[in-house]
Amino acid sequence: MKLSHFFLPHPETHKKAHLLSFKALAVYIFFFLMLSLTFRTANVYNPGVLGVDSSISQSEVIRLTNIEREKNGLQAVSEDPRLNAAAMEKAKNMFEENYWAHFSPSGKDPWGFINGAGYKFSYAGENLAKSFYQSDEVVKAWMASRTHRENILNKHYLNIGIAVLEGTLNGEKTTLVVQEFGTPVDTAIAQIPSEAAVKSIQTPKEAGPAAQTAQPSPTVAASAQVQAQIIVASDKQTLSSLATDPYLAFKVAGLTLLFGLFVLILLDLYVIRRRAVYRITARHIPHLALLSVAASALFNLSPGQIL
Amino acid sequence: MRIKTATYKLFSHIFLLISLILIFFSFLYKDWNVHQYEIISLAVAIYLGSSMIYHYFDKTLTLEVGLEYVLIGLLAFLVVFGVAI
Repeated sequence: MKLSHFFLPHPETHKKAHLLSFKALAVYIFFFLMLSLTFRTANVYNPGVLGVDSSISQSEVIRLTNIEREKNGLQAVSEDPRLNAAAMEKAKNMFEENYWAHFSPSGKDPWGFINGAGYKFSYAGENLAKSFYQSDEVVKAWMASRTHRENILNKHYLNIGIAVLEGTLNGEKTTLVVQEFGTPVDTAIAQIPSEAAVKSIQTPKEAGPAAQTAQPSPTVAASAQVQAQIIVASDKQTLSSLATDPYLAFKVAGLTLLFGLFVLILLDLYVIRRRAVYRITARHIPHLALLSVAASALFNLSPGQIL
Repeated sequence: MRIKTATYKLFSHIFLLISLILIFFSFLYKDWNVHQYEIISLAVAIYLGSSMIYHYFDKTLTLEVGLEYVLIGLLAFLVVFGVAI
């Protein structure tokens, strides 16, 4: 068996290269299934080893949030240590109770953390993010989501608090970003908000879990819905991350394979055309087109999630 | 017969056009994994459908041909969805 037969059609039978054979395709499929299974298993037996290494800065998230507000003609929100503390408590609680939601399994809600930090609010909201690589990706992801964007661009908010905390969630090493917004109750009274607005923010708990799937009212502006929207983070990681970052490893392996298949199919097309032989086989162009779409989708995926 | 031939041969080009549109949307919704999953699902479905129709009318739809499409479709699907570990 010649090496060239792995890459080029057979010179006599004109069969496809070995690397494009059914067996090879089955091996690729098996490889990706095993890769996925390996990462899942590793997270179960060695929690906290695999995951995303982030370099997110608290001050940078605040700065970028204010840039977005100013772009939309709103005043910047000022950092409040009480909201920072509330955000940090929320992040710690998420790791302790191992959940990814606005409401904890034990029934704790965002408003409890804010009140608990000594910040009495008339308006408050919360955005969550995890597994992003960079600060700008977090804010970009929130801005791409209607409800999170509404939170960031809520004209009532005066203060902001951010917590960035690393830990292990569901066996996976991750970085949580908790963003709390608020308006102190005395300021809001001075602004004379409508009674309905104040009431709606103070009673999210009464609505129960069902409220989590409802769209938040503009006055509440709290992204309490559990509609995870997964957003992209670009690859800015080094090769050393490949061993511990399953997302990056999967992405690199996937893109390499798709590119390799693309080249092999192109070679096959070229050689068969040059030989001017007729062969009953699947067509090359749809293969190339599908591989391109897959590569594009894979390239644009990210481990980052917002809630 | 000529119309029929022209119609099914359209399928050889239609997926290429759709792919270009899907790639455009993939980059347009770069920050949305959900849309990336939708895009690859739609691409695989159209790829399989249009290819099967083409080969059926071309009278070249054999088990080997069908299997090749299915395997490549499955691989493309798995590579994209597998990353959502």
